Amino acid sequence: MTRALQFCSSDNDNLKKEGIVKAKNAAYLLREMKEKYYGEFVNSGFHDTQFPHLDILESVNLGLLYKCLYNSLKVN
Amino acid sequence: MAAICGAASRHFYKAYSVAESFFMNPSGISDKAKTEILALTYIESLYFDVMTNARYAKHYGTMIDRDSSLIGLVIAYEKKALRLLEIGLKNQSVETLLNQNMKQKMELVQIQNELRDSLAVMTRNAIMVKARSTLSVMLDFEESDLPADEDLPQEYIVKLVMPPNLILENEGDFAKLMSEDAYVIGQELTDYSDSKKATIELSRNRLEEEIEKVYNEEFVNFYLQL
Repeated sequence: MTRALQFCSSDNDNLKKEGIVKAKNAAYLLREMKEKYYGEFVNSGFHDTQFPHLDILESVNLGLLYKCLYNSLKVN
Repeated sequence: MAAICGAASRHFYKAYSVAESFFMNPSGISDKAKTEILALTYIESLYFDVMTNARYAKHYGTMIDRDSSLIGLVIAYEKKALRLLEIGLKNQSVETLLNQNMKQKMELVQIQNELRDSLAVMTRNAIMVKARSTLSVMLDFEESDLPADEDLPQEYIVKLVMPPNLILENEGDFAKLMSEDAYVIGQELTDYSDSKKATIELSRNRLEEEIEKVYNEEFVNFYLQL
């Protein structure tokens, strides 16, 4: 996600494309965390928070993905 | 391009709305982190919302030569983009955040100026079109009259599937993910929880034995009494 953030504001076209891949991978991993692992963690009862921070990060990554895509197409 | 901006805006706005309600609750997240997340999502959402409308205006603007009635649509999109910008740039709660992101702020101010110029030209043209037109052409569009955003082209719809070449750089070695101190604390917590787990298991077994003993005794006494 950090790399996607850096790459999408770069002037280099290849880095922008790389940013799309990074944002997509981050979004995929966050969704896996949210739906596969965090869900089970929440259900275990050993938690005191149900804060949707993973939701926020996943949405930010999807936004970043389209931002990289837009920046990449804008130049072309 | 407008549809892509729309998708970006929707995702950033979703993140912003979730964060806004989430951060109302007390949590272990620092105020600095909260502010940064809110700033990032608000500004990006505003930027892409403005860009979506500006891009739609541009899109319909290229077709005015063929169909002059589209000028009303262009004006409506430009007005909407300007309205969003005026709300966003004057929002006191994000003023500080915007001042910290001068590059984005300057870009938004530049877009605002461009939109104002373009709107002035379009309004003049609309008056001329209206005067020339013998037919009653609808030129006054409200925001509510604007068509729904177009769907993203299929090739740009992102499906989150396991990437074939995904390499998890720190897979299997969690020590790399944290500082040495944090790793030691983590290890101590793991050992502590293991020992607690063993104690609980032991207590449970003893309790089960006790239950069985009591049950058997009560059962036997019951029949003896009978």
